Amino acid sequence: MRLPSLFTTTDEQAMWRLQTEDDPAAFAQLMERWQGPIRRLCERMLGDAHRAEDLAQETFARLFARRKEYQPSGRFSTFLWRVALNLCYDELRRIRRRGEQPFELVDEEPPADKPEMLSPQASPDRHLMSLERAEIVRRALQDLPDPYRTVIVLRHYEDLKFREIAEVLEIPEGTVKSRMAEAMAQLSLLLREEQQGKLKHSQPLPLTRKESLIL
Amino acid sequence: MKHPAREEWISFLYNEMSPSEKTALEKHLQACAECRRDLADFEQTRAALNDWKLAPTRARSFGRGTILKWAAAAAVVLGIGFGVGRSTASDSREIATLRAEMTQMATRSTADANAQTVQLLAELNASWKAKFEAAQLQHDGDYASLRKELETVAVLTEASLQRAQKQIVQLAEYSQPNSPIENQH
Repeated sequence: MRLPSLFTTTDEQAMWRLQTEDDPAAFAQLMERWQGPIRRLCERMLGDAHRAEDLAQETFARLFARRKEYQPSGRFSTFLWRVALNLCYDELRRIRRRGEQPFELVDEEPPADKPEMLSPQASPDRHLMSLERAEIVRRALQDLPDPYRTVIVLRHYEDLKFREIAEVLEIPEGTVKSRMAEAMAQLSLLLREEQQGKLKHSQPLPLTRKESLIL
Repeated sequence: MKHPAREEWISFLYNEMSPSEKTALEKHLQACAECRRDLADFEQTRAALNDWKLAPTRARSFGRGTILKWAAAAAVVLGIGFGVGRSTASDSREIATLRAEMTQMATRSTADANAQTVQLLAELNASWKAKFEAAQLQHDGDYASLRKELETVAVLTEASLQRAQKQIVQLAEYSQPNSPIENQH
């Protein structure tokens, strides 16, 4: 029996083997390559590292379950981002319906077991300041409507080109850019408000009427 | 003066412009304070986004072992015949053995051992499939619960790959069509 070679196949080739031969090695390879980016995407979208891990695992379970749905005419990554994002949206909807916090609230005092975000050499003040800055950004992003957070996360953190984002979201590239522009504008406001401690962390801002029509 | 649209500044900001478009925008910037302010605002927001750095992955989750266990779970789950496994004594033995081995499976070790084990799993999967090819799933409940067990195992503990490799080879031998064990009912 011809065994698969592990490290020389593309994602699309691995997906092909997964679809036609149910090849677990191909699945393992895809998971190894993409677990990091998917987990990070989920953490940016949900603002919660713990939930992000669960969702990332679920993403691969769903990828496996729906392997036959992937069309080879498209990029594998596009397919995978979409699976992950849809799970994120579902989770966010579920959380909000229950009235839970969409993200874990972080105390002012960092807990002892939290990993360092700055080098250990940084002074305690600077360390605290950088944690606060990170927290401000995290909260502000959670307060953005989901479609706006999505384009920011994909473009800024996952470094996808606007054209790729358009493929993932199945919308025109122009719409992606205008969504991004609006997202950055709103985020700018939110950051200022977070900084001044004004914001209550309940529902995200409603979309402007124009944006909701686009969606 | 005609100002570039917000979308153009976004493209500019994320460096998705042709050099000629970029030059045109830079020229406008030199002449237009308002657009310089708007762009500066975008730049500030973009810089702020970099302040949110994620903590590095904890070693516990998604280690090599987890990936391997998922591959193992997938391989076993895809051996379709588990649904009818209870129908013969030898099949039950095989499933029980496999279950025992799976619960002991754990990880450490080198990429090579990992790669080899995944290859062995692929072989195992193929031989299981060949054996149970014609069978229907009779007991969906059994199948579902076994699958759930395997998925639970897949996220649980860690063990030595060397031992797992040996056990997998043994299991593969159990599933050969004319193995001695199979003929003893």
